[in-house]
Amino acid sequence: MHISRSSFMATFLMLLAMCFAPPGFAENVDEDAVLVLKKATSAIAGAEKFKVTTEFGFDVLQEDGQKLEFGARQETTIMRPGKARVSFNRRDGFNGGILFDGKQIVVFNPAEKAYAIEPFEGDIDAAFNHLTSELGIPMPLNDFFSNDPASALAAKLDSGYVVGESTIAGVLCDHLALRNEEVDFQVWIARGETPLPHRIVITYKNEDGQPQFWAQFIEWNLSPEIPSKLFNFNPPEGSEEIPFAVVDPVAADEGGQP
Amino acid sequence: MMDGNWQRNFALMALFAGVFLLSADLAEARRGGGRAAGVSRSGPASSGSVRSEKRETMRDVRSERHDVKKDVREEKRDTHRDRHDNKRDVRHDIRDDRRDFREDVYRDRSRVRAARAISATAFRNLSCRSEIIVVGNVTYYRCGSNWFQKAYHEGDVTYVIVTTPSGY
Repeated sequence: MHISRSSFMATFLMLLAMCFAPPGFAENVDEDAVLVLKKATSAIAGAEKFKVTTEFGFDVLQEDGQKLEFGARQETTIMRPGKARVSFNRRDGFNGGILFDGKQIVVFNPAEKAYAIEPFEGDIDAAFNHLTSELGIPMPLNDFFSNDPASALAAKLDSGYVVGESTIAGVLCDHLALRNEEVDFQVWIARGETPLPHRIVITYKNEDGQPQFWAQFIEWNLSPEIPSKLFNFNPPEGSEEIPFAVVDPVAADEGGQP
Repeated sequence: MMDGNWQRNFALMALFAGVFLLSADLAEARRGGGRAAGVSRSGPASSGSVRSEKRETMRDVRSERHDVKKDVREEKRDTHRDRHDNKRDVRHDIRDDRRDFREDVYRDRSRVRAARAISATAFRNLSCRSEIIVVGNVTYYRCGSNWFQKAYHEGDVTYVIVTTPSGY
């Protein structure tokens, strides 16, 4: 049997690609759901810069068993691979932002006249991870804003399927039902030429009261005009630099005194 | 004439004071004062993460606010005691905070990283009328025997208990 040099090379390259390919979606995520997710994540990952406005809310279970909802409107600007700015207006009037310019993370709240700076070098994925796991700052929706959202989501999903079509704020979407051991995760992704997420709902099914987080993606802009100074931080006059009070599991393992 | 000016100035001062207090009340009301001050405002769903947050969260703000009020009440009672007792209370409070903190550490295998914090306590507001003291570049807020410093916790500007700065 004769194998041509070109077909041998094609097979070799395919095997090589499989070896270095990012982890795919779990087997129990249906093919049509994977297809929709890949379209959405490709559309986001393909944008070198983007700006997205979201409105989100979440349940907080109170001691008396009542669930209350809190939330915020958030504007996220990403310039890949290493710059991000998140501005938020919480419903309770607490406003502020998070800046990352590739060299430092800044959290600031002008009304409180406070800011904190953490030197950190890396890309936005590493910065988001550092913010959530080391500094204890919630970063809702950061999987979608990752440099590689497909891998970020694939690593967290055990199963999923397409529920069917569903219209969100006038936009025809595919409604996906996804799961892992800890959450039920629904996402609505637009059909057509711009397959972007329009809504998500996360149910924390193992937590008391099964609280939910929801977010509506109000506006996506995949080619925004971004002034370079957007990622710079100049402390407002009269503001004070304060430290982070965060959970540090590594330090705890050492059992040292606080 | 002098009396008239004095009365007018006094009325203006009272008006400004009233506006200031009203502003403070409105700000408190927006964040939630009174019964609403005990409301928990974050939980597992506030992360918006596809994975549930399993890491330790600091003790509930509601109970902490209650504790601070209690501490302040106790401090008021302590004001008539002598200096020696007061120092002992300070050491006692710090030991309590450290013990509470260690209990949290061993229960949750986690700790506050801010080097100067001695308690896993984070308050959204200080319930007492704190004294602001700047030592070096650090601003402290003193409530009775407790010294606080502003610090970010879970995205909020909060107050954490810190060790008494040297010389105080």
